[in-house]
Amino acid sequence: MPMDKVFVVGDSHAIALAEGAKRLGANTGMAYLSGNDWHSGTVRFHRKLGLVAVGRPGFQKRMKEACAQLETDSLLQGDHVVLTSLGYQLGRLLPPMRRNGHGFACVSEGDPHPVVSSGFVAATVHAKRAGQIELVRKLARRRRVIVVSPPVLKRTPEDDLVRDIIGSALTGAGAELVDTRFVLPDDGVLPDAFRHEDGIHGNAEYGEFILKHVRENVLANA
Amino acid sequence: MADHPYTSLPPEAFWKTGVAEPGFFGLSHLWRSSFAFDEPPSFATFGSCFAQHFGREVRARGLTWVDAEPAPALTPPDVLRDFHYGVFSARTANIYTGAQFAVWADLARDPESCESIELWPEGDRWRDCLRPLIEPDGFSSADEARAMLRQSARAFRAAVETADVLVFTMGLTEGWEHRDTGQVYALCPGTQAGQFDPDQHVFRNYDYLATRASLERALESLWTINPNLRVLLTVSPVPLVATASGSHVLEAVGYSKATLRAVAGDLAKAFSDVDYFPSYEIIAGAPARSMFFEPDMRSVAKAGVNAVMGHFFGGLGVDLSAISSKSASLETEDGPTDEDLVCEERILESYADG
Repeated sequence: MPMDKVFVVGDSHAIALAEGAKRLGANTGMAYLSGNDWHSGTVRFHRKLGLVAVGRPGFQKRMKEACAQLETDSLLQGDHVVLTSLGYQLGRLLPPMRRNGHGFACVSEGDPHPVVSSGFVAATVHAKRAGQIELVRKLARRRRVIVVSPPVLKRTPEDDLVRDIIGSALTGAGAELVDTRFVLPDDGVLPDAFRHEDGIHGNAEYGEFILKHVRENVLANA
Repeated sequence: MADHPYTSLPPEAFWKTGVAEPGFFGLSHLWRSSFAFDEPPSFATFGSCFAQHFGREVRARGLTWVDAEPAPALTPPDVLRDFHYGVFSARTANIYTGAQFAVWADLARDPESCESIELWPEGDRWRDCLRPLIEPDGFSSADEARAMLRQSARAFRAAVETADVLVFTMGLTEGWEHRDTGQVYALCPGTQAGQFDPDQHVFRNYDYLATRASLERALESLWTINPNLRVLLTVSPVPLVATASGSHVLEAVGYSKATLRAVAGDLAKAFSDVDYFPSYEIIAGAPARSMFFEPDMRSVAKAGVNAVMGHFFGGLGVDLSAISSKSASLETEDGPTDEDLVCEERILESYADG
């Protein structure tokens, strides 16, 4: 599948992906919305447009502009690649689980107190991400969807476990997953050269690196 | 006419003036706490299904309920329920018998002794035999199962250390043990988890002496942890789901509840820091005319729970008006019903049709 046109949609991590697509010469449309809105279920599936965000006219405007850029009426129609960063928003998952000092029994050394089980973590993640996983399922029924996980800033067993759970749910819903832990060099942590000046996102170089991987290892295998 | 002890008894000492004339809704002075509180006490709650009402109602009235094993922040309600957080003061699951209670008290005394608790493999998952249904799919490894059990034992200990009053609601005299090790089980192996082995697993119907010995052992452990702890014993009015005693289930319920009731009352007389609250009598006694039982004649309706709690908080000796209530609708039909309770014993119902 060619990567001439790319429709990037997702949270703030979508920005670097869109910049990467542009650097590779793809005609790129992009619509993003704060991870908080994805987390809270603001974004809904729409049979014609693909996605709509309740009470977020800015997102609707960006979706419309992206469609115009790609000469289509909908995320669901056209010959563009659908690339998304949705499904994760780890900042809304891990900190609450740690707020009362909880560690994960399955990965913590020395039996710290208190801990939660891996089953509990999975159930919590599934409950909090059910809406987004369902979005992916509905999108993936209609067209190919590639999800790019957010870059890892610091690798921990807890972070790895939650990423594994989400990744499994996304692929189970029909998405193709680009798990950046296994794409970025060395230990899968975002290198300084790929780090945005805000310290928590990837930069355009990162986006270009990931999009090259998508083009050469994901789309080429289609 | 000569004076005798009955001439000076209060009205509640006579059936006519204490029960027949006032009727159920006129019952008064049914219970007065033997504990005196300078300040509103904090409560830890453990026991059978019915024990869950005490925790909920303590919280609803703005009193302190000790949650020694809280879930992480912002856990979805369904997950909280599925993983038994906030049900009891630690994630012990239901503790139905005195024997189970004694095991938990021992574990609280020495959480490292969790190493000796039997684990049940189930495919690539693991369950501990004290609370085999505490997690829907069990644990991912034996190590994880042990770590989580140790944590719950520590939490049970923390609840005992923290609480002013521990409410233990006794539910059953019937249980199962390992023939050789004496390991006490929460459920008959094979009914919902584990595998039943007639050569290893034996039925016990703990009699008065055995139940009393277990409770005394538990009390000794609890007071070793917190010498100031006061223990309030109650007996669940909820009948057994099933009996393995060989008797008709109705007769088995009579034996079980009578035994538990006698032990609780005698312990309350024997120890100044033990009291008995008559949940059983309020719901199952003749004055209620079984009106608080649902059509299955087993589950207790919300109105019955309200009646129990009315007597409980009315006799507690604490001025609740000074405490901000978190619920204004306790006397309505709304709120948690028996269906909302977490009751492992109910699994036995599925075997009723053979």
